[in-house]
Amino acid sequence: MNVRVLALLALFCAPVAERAQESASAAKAQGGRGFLAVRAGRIHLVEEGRVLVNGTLLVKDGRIQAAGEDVLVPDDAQLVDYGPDAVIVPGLVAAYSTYALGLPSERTADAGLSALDGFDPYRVYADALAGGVTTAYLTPAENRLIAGTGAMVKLAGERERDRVLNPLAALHGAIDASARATPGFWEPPVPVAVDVELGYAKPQLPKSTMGAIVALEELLQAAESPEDPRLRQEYGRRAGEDLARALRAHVPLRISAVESTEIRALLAFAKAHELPLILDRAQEAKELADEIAAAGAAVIFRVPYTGNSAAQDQGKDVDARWRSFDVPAALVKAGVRVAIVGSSPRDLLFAARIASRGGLEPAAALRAITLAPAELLGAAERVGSLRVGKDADLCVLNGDPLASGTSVLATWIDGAVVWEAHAAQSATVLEVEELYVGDGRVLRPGQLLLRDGRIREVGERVSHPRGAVVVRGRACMPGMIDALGYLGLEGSRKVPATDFALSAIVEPGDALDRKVALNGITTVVLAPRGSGDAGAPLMAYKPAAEQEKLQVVGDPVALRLRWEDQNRGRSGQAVKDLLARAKEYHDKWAEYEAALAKWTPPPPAAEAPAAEAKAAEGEKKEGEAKEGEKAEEKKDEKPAEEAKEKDKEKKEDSKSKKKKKDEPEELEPDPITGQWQADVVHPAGAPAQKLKLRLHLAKAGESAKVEGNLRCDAASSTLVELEGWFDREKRALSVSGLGSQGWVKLEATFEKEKLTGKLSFAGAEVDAALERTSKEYVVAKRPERKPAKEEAAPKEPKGKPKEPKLDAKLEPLRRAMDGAATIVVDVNRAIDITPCVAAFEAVGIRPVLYGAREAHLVVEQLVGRVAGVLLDPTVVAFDEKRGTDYRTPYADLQNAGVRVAFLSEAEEGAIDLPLRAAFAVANGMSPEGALRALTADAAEIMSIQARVGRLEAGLDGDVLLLDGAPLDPTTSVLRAWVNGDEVEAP
Amino acid sequence: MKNPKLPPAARALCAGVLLAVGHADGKLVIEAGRIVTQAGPDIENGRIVIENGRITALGKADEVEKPWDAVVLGGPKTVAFPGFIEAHTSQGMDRANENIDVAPFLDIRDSIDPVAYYFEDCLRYGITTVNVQQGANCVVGGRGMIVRPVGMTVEELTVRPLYGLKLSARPKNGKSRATQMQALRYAFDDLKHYLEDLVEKERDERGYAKREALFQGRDLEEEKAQGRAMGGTAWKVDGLDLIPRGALDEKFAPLLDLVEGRYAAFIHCADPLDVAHALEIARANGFLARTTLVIEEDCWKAADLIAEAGVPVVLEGALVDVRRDPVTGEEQETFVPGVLHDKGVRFALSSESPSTRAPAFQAALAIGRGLERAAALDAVTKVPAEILGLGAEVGTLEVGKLGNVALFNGDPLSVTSWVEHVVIEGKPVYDRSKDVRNKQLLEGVQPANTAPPSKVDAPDPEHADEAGKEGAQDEKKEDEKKEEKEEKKEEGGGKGGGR
Amino acid sequence: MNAMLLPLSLGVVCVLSPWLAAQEEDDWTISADMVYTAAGAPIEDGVVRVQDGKITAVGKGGGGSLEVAAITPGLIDLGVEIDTGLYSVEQSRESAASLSVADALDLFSFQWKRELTSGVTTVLAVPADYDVVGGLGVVLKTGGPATLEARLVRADAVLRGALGTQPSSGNNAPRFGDPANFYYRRPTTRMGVEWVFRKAFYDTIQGEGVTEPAIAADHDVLRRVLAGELTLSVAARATQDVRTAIYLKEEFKIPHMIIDDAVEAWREPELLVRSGASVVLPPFPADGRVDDGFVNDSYFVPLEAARMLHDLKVTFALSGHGSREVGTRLSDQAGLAQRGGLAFEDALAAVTLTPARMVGVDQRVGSLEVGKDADLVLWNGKPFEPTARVVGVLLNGRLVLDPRPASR
Repeated sequence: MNVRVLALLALFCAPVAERAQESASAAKAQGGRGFLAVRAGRIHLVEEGRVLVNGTLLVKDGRIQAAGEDVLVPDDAQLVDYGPDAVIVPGLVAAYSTYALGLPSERTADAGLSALDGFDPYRVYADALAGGVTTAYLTPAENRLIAGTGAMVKLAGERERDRVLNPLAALHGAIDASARATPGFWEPPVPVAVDVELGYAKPQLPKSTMGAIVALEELLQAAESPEDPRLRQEYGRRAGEDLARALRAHVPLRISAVESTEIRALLAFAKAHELPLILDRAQEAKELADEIAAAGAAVIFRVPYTGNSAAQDQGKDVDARWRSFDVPAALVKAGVRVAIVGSSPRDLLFAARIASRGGLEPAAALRAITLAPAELLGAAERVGSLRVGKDADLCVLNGDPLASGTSVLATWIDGAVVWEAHAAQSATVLEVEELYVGDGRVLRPGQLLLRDGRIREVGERVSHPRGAVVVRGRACMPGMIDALGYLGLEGSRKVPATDFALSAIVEPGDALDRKVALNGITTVVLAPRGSGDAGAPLMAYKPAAEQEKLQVVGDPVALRLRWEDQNRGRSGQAVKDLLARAKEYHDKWAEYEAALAKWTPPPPAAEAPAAEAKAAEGEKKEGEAKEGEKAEEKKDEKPAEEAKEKDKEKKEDSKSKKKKKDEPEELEPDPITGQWQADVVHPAGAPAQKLKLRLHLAKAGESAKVEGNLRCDAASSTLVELEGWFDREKRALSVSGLGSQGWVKLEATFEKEKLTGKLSFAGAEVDAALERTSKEYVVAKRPERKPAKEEAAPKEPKGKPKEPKLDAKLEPLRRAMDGAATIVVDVNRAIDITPCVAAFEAVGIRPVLYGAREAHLVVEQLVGRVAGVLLDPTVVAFDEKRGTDYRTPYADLQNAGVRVAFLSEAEEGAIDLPLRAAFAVANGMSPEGALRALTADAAEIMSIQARVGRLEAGLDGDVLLLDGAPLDPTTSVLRAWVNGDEVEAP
Repeated sequence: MKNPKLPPAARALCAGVLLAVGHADGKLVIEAGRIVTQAGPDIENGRIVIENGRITALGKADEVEKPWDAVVLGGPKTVAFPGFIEAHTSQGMDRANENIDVAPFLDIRDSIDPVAYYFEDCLRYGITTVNVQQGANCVVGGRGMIVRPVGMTVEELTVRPLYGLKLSARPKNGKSRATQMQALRYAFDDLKHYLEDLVEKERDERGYAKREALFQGRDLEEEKAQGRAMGGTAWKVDGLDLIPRGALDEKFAPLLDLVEGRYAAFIHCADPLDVAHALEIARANGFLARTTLVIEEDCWKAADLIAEAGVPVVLEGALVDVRRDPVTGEEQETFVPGVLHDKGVRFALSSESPSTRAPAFQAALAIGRGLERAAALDAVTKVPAEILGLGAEVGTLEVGKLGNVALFNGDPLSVTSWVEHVVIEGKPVYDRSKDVRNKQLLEGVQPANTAPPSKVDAPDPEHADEAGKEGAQDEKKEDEKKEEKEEKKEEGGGKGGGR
Repeated sequence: MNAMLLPLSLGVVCVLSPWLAAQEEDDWTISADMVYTAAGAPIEDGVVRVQDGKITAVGKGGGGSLEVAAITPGLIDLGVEIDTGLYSVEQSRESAASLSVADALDLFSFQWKRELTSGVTTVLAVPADYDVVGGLGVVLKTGGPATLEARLVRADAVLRGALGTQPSSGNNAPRFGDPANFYYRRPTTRMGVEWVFRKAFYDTIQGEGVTEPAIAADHDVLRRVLAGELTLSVAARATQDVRTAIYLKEEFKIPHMIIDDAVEAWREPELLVRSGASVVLPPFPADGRVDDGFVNDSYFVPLEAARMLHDLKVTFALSGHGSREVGTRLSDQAGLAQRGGLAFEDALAAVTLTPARMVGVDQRVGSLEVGKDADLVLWNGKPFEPTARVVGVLLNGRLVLDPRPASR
C-alpha cells in the first residue's frame, strides 16, 4: 500500500516533491548499501529534549543508524536535505483514534474485544499521515465500563506484520457519563422453540459512579475466580478469564474519567488494587494534579475542542464547569506523565498547541504527542523519539512544531516517504527581518507569500498555507531590473522594424541566465543596437524564467528613437518628422473617436435580418457546417451570431476599403518595388556612372517602410544597404544607408513610372532620374507581421464615422501621446536635450532620455517633463571647466525629482549592475533611492510596474533573499525566485 | 433475490415444463459443430454419446459411432460446452439468513426452493451444478448442499447433501469487526469447552452422555452409538472416544465435524482485512485445507495473503473494483480476476457478481479485460468443480464424466449466442424453443397462466400438465384481477391525455 | 483521398512516433482493422486522421501512430443520470421550464471521467425528475477543461418533463388537522402530475401578457417547444405514462418529443408510430424488470424492445443510465440490443448518430466524418462484444485514455 502512496506522490513534481521522490526511491534503493541521510535545519530528537542544529539522521533498513550534527555520511548514501528552514520531529503518536472504533459489546465489560481485529492495514490513512501522525492507538469501542483492549499500530509501512507495535496497549473503558447507559442484556435461547420460555432483559451496571466502581471490584473478583457462577451470571461467561488474561499481561487500565469525583474514585480503586492506571479525557484533573502524581497515574488529556464542527455550549446551568485547556501544564508541573490528543489524529499538532496554555514548555508539549504516548501505551521500543535503533518515522515541518502556521511538509515511516505536501498547494513563505518593498517602504519584520508564480501577500505576518515551504532570512527585495541592455542579435547592428516582435527570439533561461538572476537581475529591458528613423522596439523579459509564457514581461514596452545625428545640424529632424506624422495620425484617431462617441447606432432590430442574411452567406463560405443548429437557435444565439458576423464583416470591408482607396488615384499598389537604373553625372565633371537601385516596399498599398540596396561607385565603393520610407500621399521616396564614404541618401518622387530626385553622398548632391528595369525584388522576403496592436473594428452600418487606417509604425507614438506607452530617445548633449524634450512636450509625450550624459546640467528643465532618465554607465561626471568638481548625475536627477534607473548595455543583464548602484551610493546617492532606481522606478520608467519592480500582492514573484541590507557592498544574494520558481544554482 | 413474487402454482408450472422435456431414455447423442471439452483441444464436428448419465464416447462425428436408439440433440451450428458450475450461491432459498449468530445445526435443505426462478435461470445460462450455501449475514451459518438445478423436490435436486459450512468474517448486522471476530473465536472456544465438560462429566459418572442423549430423545444406532477419538489437526480433546457421537448436541456436532475436517468451509470476506481474519480462524481450527473464501471485489488487495495460504476463492463481487484514492481523490479501476490470476490464486467466477448473471458472459468480460481465455473459462468450469470436490465428475467433457452439457447456438462468449439445450446427466432438461419465460425475457411475450406484466396470453399446449392445469385455475383469478387494475390505470392515463 | 492518405499517414509515423509519448499530442493518425464510421459502410484496415481537435481524414490505410482493433465514434448517452443533488430541484413551482440544468452541473464530479473512459464522450444532461417540468437540458462533452464553455456542445438542447410516479414521489398531501406547510406539495398522484403538465402548456397558450417574470420566462420556453424550436424530452416509464406522453404530444401538437427511459414504450407500437415521437430506452435489466424506486411497481422491457422499435422505424437511442458496473454500461447495452436481435449497424447507430440527431448535435458529433469533432473510441476487439472493451478514447482530438500498454 505504501508503494501505492509513493507512486501517487510521484505524480506531483514540485521541487520539494522531487526531493521526496529521491528519498522514496532512496528508501527502496538497493543501490549501495541502502544508506539514507536526512538533513534539516533543526531536528528534535525528543530523547531528553535534545535538538540538533543542521543535524543529520542516518537511516538504513527503515531504522535510525545515527543521529547527530557531525554524522559521518557514507558516500554511497542517498542524501535528502530539507534545507536549513525545515524542522524534523519524530513521527507523531496519536493516543486516540477511531480507526477501529466499533459497536460496543452487549455486556458491561468485555476484555476479550480486541481493537486489533478492527485494524485495516489496507486502508490509506491519508488524513493522519497528512497531520504528521505515524502511530495511532486503536480504540476498540466506547460507552462501556471495559469496552475492550486497545492496540498500537503504525499507519503505514512496507512490512504489514511489523505494523502492530502493541496488540495489548490498554484495557479501554470509561466510568464517566458515557458508560452509564449500558443497556439491559438478553441472550436469545438457542434453539428457539415453543417450550423454551422467552427471556427478558436483565439490567447491567453501571448506572452511577459508585456502580461503576462496584462493577470494577466485582470484575476483579471474577478475574480471580472465573468460575464463580454468580459473577458469570452477572458479567457473562468469559468476563472473568478475559480480564484475568489482560491483567496477567500487566496491561494498563485506560479509563476515561471527566469529573474530579470520577478521577478521585478511580485513583482510590487503582491504589487499592495496585493497578497501572491511565486517566483518559481527564477534563478536571487540574485540581487533582498532585494526587494523580502521588498515585503514579498517567493522563491522556483529550483537548475539549473539535475542529471542523460547530462550537459547543459550555454548559449554562449554575454548576456547569467550563472546559479548561491548561490542564496538561498543571499536570506536567506536578510531575504527571501526560499525553495529549485532539479530536482526530489529523489535528494532533494543533491540539498540542492549544493544550500548551498555562505555561507548558514546547519541549514538554512535543513530548506529549510523541514519546509520552508511546511510553504510556507500550510502543516506545520502536517509536516516539529519534533514537538510534528506533524506526525512522519522521514528521517534517516547515517551522517550529508549536508555532502557529507551521504545517507538515512530509511524513516518513520506516525510512520511506508515505505522505508529501500536495504540489498543487505548495507555496513559499519568506520570513525576513527587513522586507524592502522597492518603492522605499521597508517592513521590519516582513513576511511574503509566493504562490502560483505571483506574490500573494506581503505584510508583517502573512498566511502560511498547509505544506508551504518557509524560508527565513535577513532581508529580501524585489528582483532588480536592468533598464536597458543590448540585444544579442549576434552583435549585428541591423535594426528590426518598429513592429518586429523581439519576443520571437528569446529562449528559455540557460545556466548563464540563472547566474545573472542569482546575482539579482531578474528583468532585463532589451533594445537593438542603434535605431532607425522609424524607431526600434524595446522588450522587457526575464532571462531566467522557467515557463516560456511567463518569460516576456512586455513586447514592445517602448519605442526607441535616436535624436542625435552624425550631422549635428540635422539632429532631431527624423524624430521631429516622425512626431509630426504621429501627431497627424493621432489627431485623425482622436476626431474619429470623438465622432464615434457622438454617433448613436441604429436599433439592433433593423440589423437582425442583415445578420441572418450574413449568416446564410457565411454558411456558404463555411460549407454546410452548423446549418441545422443555427436554424434552430437563431434567436438565443443572436449575440454569438453577431460576433461571428463582425469579424467576417471586418475582413471583408478591410479588403473593400483598400480597393476604394486605390480607385481615385490610379497609383498601383506597389509602384516602386523592383530594380531601377540611372546614370548619375558627378558635378565635379567626372564621367557619368551607373546607379543601380533595388527597392522593396514592405507593405503594398500604404505608406510603408522601404528597404533595398544601391550600387553607385561614385557614392560608395561598397553596396549600400538602404532603408527608408515611401509616402504614398506625397509619393515621396526617402531612403538612406551607410556607404564607404559616409551616409548615402536618396530623396525622390514617383511620377509616371519614374523616380526623380536627388542622391546625396559625402557632402555632394546629384540629380538622379531612375527608370524601372524590373518589378522583381529577387531577395528572400522577410516575413510580414501583423500590427502588434489592433482595435477590433466595429460593425459599420451607414452613417457610422469611418475608422482611420491603422499604422503599426505610428501606433506606439499614438499610445505614448495618450500616456500609454514609453518612448526612449537617445540624446546626450544638453543643447540637444532641451529641444528634444520640448519637441516631445509639443505632442504631449513625456519621453525617457537615454544616455543623457549632460542631463544633470539641465535638471530643472527636465523635472515633470520626462518620464525618466536612463543614464549611461558613467556614474560620476566631472565638469571640464572646474576640473575637480565631481558630481553624480544619478543623485542630482533623483534628488530633483526625476526618475532614474540603472542600465547595463550588456546583452542579458549584467552581474555588476547592483555594484554600479552601490558605487552610485558611495558617490552620494541615497541607498533608498538607488534601490528604487534598481526596482520600482525602473519599472515605472518602462511602464511595466504592473508586473515587476515591487514586492506587492499581485505582482510577479520575483524576489531576492539577501544576507544584509541591499546595496551594501558586503551584501550578497542568497537565493532568488523568478515567477515564484526558485532559481536553481547553475 | 430480485425475482418478482409469483403464486407457487405458477412457478410449479414453469419448473414442470422444464422437467417435462427431461424424461428421455438412457441414451443421448449430442452433435455439435464444435465441442469445447475444456480437457484438451476443441473438437470440430464432434459427437458426444451419453449413456445412463455418463459420457461414454466423445470425438469427431465420423470417429464416434451413434447408438441407433439414442435421442439426438444439436446440429452443425451448435457449440457444446461443459455445463457451468456455480461454486457458491445463496440463491434458490427463501430467506437466506438465520438471525442466530452461531447456527451450524441449520440445514439448507429445509429452506431450498426447487422451483425458484434462480434454478430456471441457471438452465438458461447453462449452469448444471450449483453449491447452495446460507447467506453471509451470520457468524457461523448452516450447512449447505450441492444441487442440480432441475427437479420438483429437494431430493431430485440433491447432488451432495450437507456439503460445506458457511462462515462469515464480514460483520453480521449489528456487529463490528471486533465483535464478529470475537464471536467466531468464541464459537470454537465454546465447542472446546463443551466437549471438555462432556468428557469430564462422562469420566465422573459413566454413561452420563448416553443418558442425556436418550433423555433428549436422540437415536444412538450403529455408528452414532460409537465414540471416536477426535480427528483433525488443530486442537484435540482427549477422551472423546468415550462419548457416542450420536450423543453430541447438534448445536455443536457440525462444528466438530468441521474441525475434524469432514466439512468444507465457505468463509465470506467483504473487505481485505476480513481475509486475514478468515484465514486465522481456519488455521486455528485446522480446516484451512478445506476452506474456500467467498470474496467481494475489494479483497484483491489481500491477494498475497490468499496466495500464501493456498486457498481457492469465489469472486462474488464485481469484476472491476472502482475506488477513490484517498490521497489523490482520483478514481481507480482494478480488474480483480486479473490480479488474482497474476498472484496465482485459484478463483471461480460466480453468477452472484453484479456485473452480470451468466457465467459465459462473465468469462467473456474477463477475457475482454485481458484475462487469458483458458483461465477465464476454467474459472466457470474446472476450478469450481475442484472447489466442490467434483473434479472427477464435472467441469470438463471427458469420457467417464457426468453428461452435463450446455449447447450454444454460437460462440459461447458472444453476446448474440444463446444456450439452446442443457443436458444434465444425460437428460435434456432445457430447450430454449420451449422456454416460455425466456420468450418473455426476449420478446415480452407472457407465458400462459402466469402473472402479468403482459396482457398477451397464448396458452401453449406443450405445458399443459397437471401442475399447469391446477395452476391455470387459481391463476385465472389472479390474472383477471391484475388486468382490471391495468384497465383502471390506463383509463386514468387515457382520459387524462385523451381530452 | 485514400491515395494521398496512405503516404501521408506513413510520413506521420516516422515523424511523430519518436516524440509521441513525449508531449501531449493533438495530432494523431489511428489505424484499425475495422473503422466503424456510423456514417456509411465500415472500412476494413481503415485509418482516421485527427488534427486540432477535428477529424481531417477517414479512409483506407495503415500504419497509424496508434493501431487498434476497431474504431467507433464517441458514444452518446441521452439518458445518463447526472446527479445534480436535491438542491437543484426547484421547490417554488412544479413547472420550472425556464431553469437550465447548466447552472446545477458539477463538472468536477467523477461521473464524467467514468463516462469518458467507458467510451461515452457526449451526454445530454437534464434536470432531476422531481418537478413535472424540470427545465432545460444541455448537451455537453464528458471531458476537457472543467468549464461549461469548454464542454458545452449545445445549450438549451431539450426541455425536460417527467410523467409517472417520480415527480410526485417527494410530495405529500396536507393531512387533516395539520396546518398546511411548505412540505405539502402537489401533485401527489400520476393524474396530478399529468394535470400539472397539461396546465403548463394550457397556461402558456392562454397566458399572453403574463407579467410575473419567472412565469413569463417559463412560458417563453414552452412556446418555443410548441413552435418546434425546442425538443421536449419526457420521462415516461410505464405503459400508461408513455401513452400520456403521446396524448400530450398530440393534444398540444408538440412537433419534437423524446420519450426518455421509455421502459414499456414497446407495448404501444401503434401509438408510437402514429405520434412520430422518438424514444430513449433504459438499460436492459438482467431479468427484464425495471424496479420503480418510488412506488413498489416494476415495469418490463424485453431484450427485443430495441429490435421491435427498429422494425417500426421508430427513432430510438440506447442508454446506460451512467452505470459504473462492468457489463451494464452503454457499450454493453448495444451488445444486449444485438442479443435481442438488433443488427450491429443499428446498435451502433443507436449509441452514436441517432442520439446526436435527436438532440441536434449531429453536425459536430455522432459519426466519423471529416470536419466533425475528433471524438473516437478505440476497441481491442469487435465493439459491444463482451470479449472486447474500450481501450482508448480521444476527445476533441486529445488522447484521454491511452490504448498503449506502456501507459497502463
